[in-house]
Amino acid sequence: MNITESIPDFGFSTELNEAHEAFEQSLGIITYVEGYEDVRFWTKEFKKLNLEITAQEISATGSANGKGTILSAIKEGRIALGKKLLFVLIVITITCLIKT
Amino acid sequence: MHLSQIEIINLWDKEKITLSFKNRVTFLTGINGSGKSTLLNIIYDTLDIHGKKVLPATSKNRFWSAEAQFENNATIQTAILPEISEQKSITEEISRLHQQKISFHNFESLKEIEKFYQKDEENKEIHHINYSGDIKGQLKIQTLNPQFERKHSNNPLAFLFQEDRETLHNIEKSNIDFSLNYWQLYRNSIDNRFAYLRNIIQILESQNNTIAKDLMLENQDMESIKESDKYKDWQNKATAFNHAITRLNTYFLNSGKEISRDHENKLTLKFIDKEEEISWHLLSRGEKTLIYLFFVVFLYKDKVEVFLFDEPEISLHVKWQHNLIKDLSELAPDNQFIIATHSPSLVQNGWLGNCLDVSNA
Repeated sequence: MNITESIPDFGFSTELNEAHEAFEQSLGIITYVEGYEDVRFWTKEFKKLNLEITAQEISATGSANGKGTILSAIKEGRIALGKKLLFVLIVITITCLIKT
Repeated sequence: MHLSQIEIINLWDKEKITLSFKNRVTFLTGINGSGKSTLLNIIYDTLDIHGKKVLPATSKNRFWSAEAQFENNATIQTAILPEISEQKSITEEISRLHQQKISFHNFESLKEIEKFYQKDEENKEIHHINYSGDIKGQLKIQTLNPQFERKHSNNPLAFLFQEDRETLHNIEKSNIDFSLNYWQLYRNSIDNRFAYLRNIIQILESQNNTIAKDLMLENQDMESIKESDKYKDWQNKATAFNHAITRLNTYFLNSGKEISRDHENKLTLKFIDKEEEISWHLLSRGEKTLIYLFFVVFLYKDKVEVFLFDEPEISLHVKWQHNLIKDLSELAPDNQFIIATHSPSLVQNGWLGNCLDVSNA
């Protein structure tokens, strides 16, 4: 039995982000991106659009396959996307998500 | 020297469980009872390479073997079997197998060894599933491959923090006065460790101050002092120490407190706008835990390779959890961290891709 990396089943969702506010910790709108280098890119793009969205990499130490890891977590319901929890893969995807 | 993989044989009746550590920071997740703490204990026991001194295993399980593989191809194999003093034949038999260089890191071999125990005492089967709370001895068989450089001759390669377990610090050798009423009436599980840490930090600071004094007494000009290795060493230690305090103070800012020293020159907190320190006994469990975690990382980063933390988030506010692992791992940039957790707040800030879900192990 090999145990490999996967996003934990902690119920990541807009509701969980909002629950943090009860502890005086507003996470705002978070969007997960594939890797560290994407954080800079997306932060700039959101600023241009005057959007207050935090771009957050999936792994701070790098070697994880961000795209595959996030997609399987969404598919298996370990991450529930919503108005305060987004995921950007390509520009078209984020445009659709922000509009919802 | 980072641990890249641990392979465990014959745990929970599974032939083999393999955990790969691709990142410097790894989280073990999974529902209660899925085995996160057991895995941390087995990793610790495997990396505990005390020379002649054999300490009790932190794992309650027996009949397992684990192989730790490091990035430089060094390996350590450790097997933990029960020891039953009245059954010398078993000990002799196992010793004979060890001398014959029979591998204990093999499912079939371990199953055969289990039979020795059942054969000699037919009515008393000893196995992890029958663990009844009786004190179970241990036979530890350990093999280090030639690539393994034993630079930590008398220290385990890992540091283990389990809040609900007895501390692994050598408290008996400290000068803590346990006769005070506080220890009888109000002691909680972090207090022993916290008091121990305060002592050690005080000693460390005092040693560093002595080095600084010696340097000044050497009657050299400041420029030559600054060039000396002794000064550079002192400066590095002082900078690292101050960095730890600066980071810690960011956590206490919200409650208007900061790190200070009490009348014994030991660590505690004080209100920023007041002169008087708060007695360490009055600090909250979360405050003690946070200070403890920061300073054990600071103290042990050069002594061990891996930090094993079992639910370090217990008693910490979600705000404090958010940056905790980032801060701790930055304090020890060359060390590896393996952390068991139930907390989304601990992993949400950049660690989602660093989690191993052990539920299906």
